Amino acid sequence: MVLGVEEGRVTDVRPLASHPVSAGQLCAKGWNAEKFLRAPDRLTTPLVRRGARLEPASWEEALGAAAAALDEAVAAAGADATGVIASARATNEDAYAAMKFARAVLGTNNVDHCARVCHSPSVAGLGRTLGSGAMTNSIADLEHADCILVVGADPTENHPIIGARILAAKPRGARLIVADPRRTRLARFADLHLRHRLGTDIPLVNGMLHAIFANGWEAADYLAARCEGAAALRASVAEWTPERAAAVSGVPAADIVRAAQWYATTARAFLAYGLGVTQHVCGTENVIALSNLALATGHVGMAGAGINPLRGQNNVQGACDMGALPDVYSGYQRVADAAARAKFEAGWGRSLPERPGRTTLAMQEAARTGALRALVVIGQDPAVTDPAQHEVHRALASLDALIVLELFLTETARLADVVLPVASFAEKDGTFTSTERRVQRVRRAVAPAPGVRADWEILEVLAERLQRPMGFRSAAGVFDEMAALTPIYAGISWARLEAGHGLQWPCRSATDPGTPILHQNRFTHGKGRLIPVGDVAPAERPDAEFPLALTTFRLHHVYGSGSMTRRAPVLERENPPGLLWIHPADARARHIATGTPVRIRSRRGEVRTRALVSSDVPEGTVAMPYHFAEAPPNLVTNDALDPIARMPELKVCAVAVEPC
Amino acid sequence: MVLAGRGAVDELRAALAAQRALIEPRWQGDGIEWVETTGSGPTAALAPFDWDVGLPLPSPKRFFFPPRETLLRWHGDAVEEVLPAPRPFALFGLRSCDVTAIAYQDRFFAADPAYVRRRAAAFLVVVQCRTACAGGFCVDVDAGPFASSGFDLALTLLSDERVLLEVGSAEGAAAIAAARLRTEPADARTRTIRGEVEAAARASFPPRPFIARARARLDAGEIRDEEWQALGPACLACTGCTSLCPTCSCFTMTDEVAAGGGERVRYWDSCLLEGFQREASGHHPAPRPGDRVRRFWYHKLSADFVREFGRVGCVGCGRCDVTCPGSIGALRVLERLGA
Repeated sequence: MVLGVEEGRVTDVRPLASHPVSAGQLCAKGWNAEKFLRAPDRLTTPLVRRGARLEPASWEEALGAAAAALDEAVAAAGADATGVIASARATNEDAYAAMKFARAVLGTNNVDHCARVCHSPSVAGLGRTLGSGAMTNSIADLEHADCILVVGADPTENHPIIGARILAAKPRGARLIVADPRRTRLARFADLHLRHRLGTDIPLVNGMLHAIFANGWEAADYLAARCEGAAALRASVAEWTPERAAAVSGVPAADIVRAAQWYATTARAFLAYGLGVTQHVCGTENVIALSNLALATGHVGMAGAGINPLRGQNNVQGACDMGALPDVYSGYQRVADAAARAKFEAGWGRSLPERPGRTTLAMQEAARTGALRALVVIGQDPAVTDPAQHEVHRALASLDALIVLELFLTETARLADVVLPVASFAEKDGTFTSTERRVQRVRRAVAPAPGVRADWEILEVLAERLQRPMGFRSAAGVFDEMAALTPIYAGISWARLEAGHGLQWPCRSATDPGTPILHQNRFTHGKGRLIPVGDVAPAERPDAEFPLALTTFRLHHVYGSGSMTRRAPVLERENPPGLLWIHPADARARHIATGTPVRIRSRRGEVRTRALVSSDVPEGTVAMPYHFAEAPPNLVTNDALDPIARMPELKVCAVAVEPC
Repeated sequence: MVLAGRGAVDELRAALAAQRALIEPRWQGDGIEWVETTGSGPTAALAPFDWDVGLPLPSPKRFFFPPRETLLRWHGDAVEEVLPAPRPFALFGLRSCDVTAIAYQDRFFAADPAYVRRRAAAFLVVVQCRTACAGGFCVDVDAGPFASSGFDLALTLLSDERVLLEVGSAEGAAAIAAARLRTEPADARTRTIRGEVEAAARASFPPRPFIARARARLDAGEIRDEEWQALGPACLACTGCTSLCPTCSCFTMTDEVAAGGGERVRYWDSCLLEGFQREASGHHPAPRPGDRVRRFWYHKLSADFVREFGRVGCVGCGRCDVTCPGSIGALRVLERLGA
């Protein structure tokens, strides 16, 4: 997008007609992306806690306090008593600096970011089956798809430009199948809406696979040439007759078979999925189930097809690529791999910790037990966005030192000991990597608000105060170092990004044009792996005490915890009158109407809001958007974890709802 | 109406640039933008005029009705009205659709002091369209391809060498004189050629009979509620169409309060947002997305507004078709309603 600037201030945002992704379109968040820049409550001076209060301080004092706190924590309890939560909104340069800061300055692999609560199961699941956890295809590929299967994703609201491509594919004749318990906007346009019960993705997909193998719709040649494990998969889904899958999922057997037939027998079928798949105790297994479906039908490695996790934040793909994860360096080079570690040790001139670090939620757990003493949180608001909020608050309050880099005094920043004000996307140079692995430049449009600095600059100064400088003098310099150590980014440079519309990784050399479609001739790790997965029930099911299933979702006009978008007046005005979507039958039984104040209780806590009666949610299920600090569903959501990716089950828990 | 050599256009631009900011459509990076081509350099360094550049995606309304405008400022108890003091500028290379839209907005904002001041600072130069653009349908809504009014000057490229200059105002005539252009009066033959160029331009548009049918159905009240409600879910309320539409004029006001003072600011608003018309009680006169889509297109296409604005609201520029993520821009909607 283009920022209009007048007299040193950003006045508006405009789309780019010739951009291969946006093609002249933006969502409401994009059209209003500049509104927060000059919000009167933008942080422009560091804050330091004095007693109960956060008070303005000089950079000198604030950096000194932050460095002393980190030093103290390391001296008292070792490097693993510290941790860094990086940002999926800031640039690649910022994310790389954050992960280097954790590993080479603090000396811990305790670095993670919000991908933990969105697509960590994709990184884990697709990593196992294909060798790479990103979208296999490009967004523009939707133009070539003849069948589009969307599972647990609401792209018209959360990825509207991708949603736009799907809506545009319909009149062209592409078939659309949506699998979602909620009647999403896209479901209204679908040729087939599979409205499965919360937490029954695996039975649904296994039922489709059963029908595929039973009818010979599988891609036999592809399976033989490019995959392994087909026989075991076929055997494992034998028990998942469509009738059995129907009984578990609530989707009619005939619809399961029809969806299987359409998806399997179409030459080019594009599979997209979102957090409805990943935010479960079986998130990784859900992803593997979808991967099985795409591989069994031969839909990976060609134009107009693929398996495509839709990444949410502007740079969540990039933050993963940069290694802001506890077990990998940039480019998914494993910490546990001695050769990779040796390479980074040589590159950075430091010895590095061997043991993979803690995830965001594990860091919080460690804070509660006292094992983690100091935490740096960058551009993220776990006090609103992470599950079981009472526990999150308890964790953050248990820390000796919480250091927050932020644009605004978020709920998390309010709990901090030191708050450092940062530059926004419009005020700095760098790169973002979009969900289709496209690395693009972001260019400074206006001078930073007075008093703020880029994340990487702040981390460099902190590193210098800790006597372990990282050697960063410019954002371009950070990128160059990263590219030199990261094979999938090796061929990308700021200079190459000047012309055109970015490059899609892997891009391994200066002449490599990038990779719009992954796995075209072989999978990243050779053969595609089919891995049988069985049914895993949600950690909590409705019962007599908590009779309704609660799920969470996102609204078109709000981004994350709203720290940016809620400062745009026309977006804030869009907030619905109530934040609990409830089916008319469930509402009637409880004497609830739209606007009725309600209390939502679970085993972990309660939250109050108003009701919005709608048949867009099925009977027995209620739904809340997760954005709002005044009514955060994370007070009641379940922090039960996917044992592989450590993803909490944000998409289903049992609640009771009553008027209050 | 006078005739000149093609090179006279660049002399005219240089003369205008000596007196005012020259703003022209140019390819910039990834799109066509309105670019101030004078900048700080000498006017002699002006690049030759680009006759073939397409329509910028942003409409020119931003020069009169900017996306963000401060209306008043206060500090303590002192309140100060803020009025723009724009330097004179020329929009050079407006197309018929956009100049038609400016005339439309002139009526809407006739009593708006900020708009009137910005508008008075503008000198408008139209380039008449010789061929249809990709998504434009000005011919079907009486807004082109040739503009007949609303400009200071209008240029028609008659051949590779000859340009016809039409004068629309005293300022336009003065500008030709000030530039000391070598011109000759347009004779009958020149007028014939102009007519032929315009006819060829008209003929280059694909026939779109559905537009007249859709407009007739709308004016006759024949469009059923189901048709609007079917369109409704495709509106994501992104505000793209209303931001780009050259005749959309809705705005909202907000007070931006800082320590000790603040500003009252107006921003572009959009009637397709749910909150635009929601009342404090929660009552909504257009509660369903389809209701809001109907209202929007009624305002753009209905003859009911001709009395107030002299024409229908849509000028056929096609921007909404480009920017709509739900594929329900004007042409797509007219196609469905006029099928």
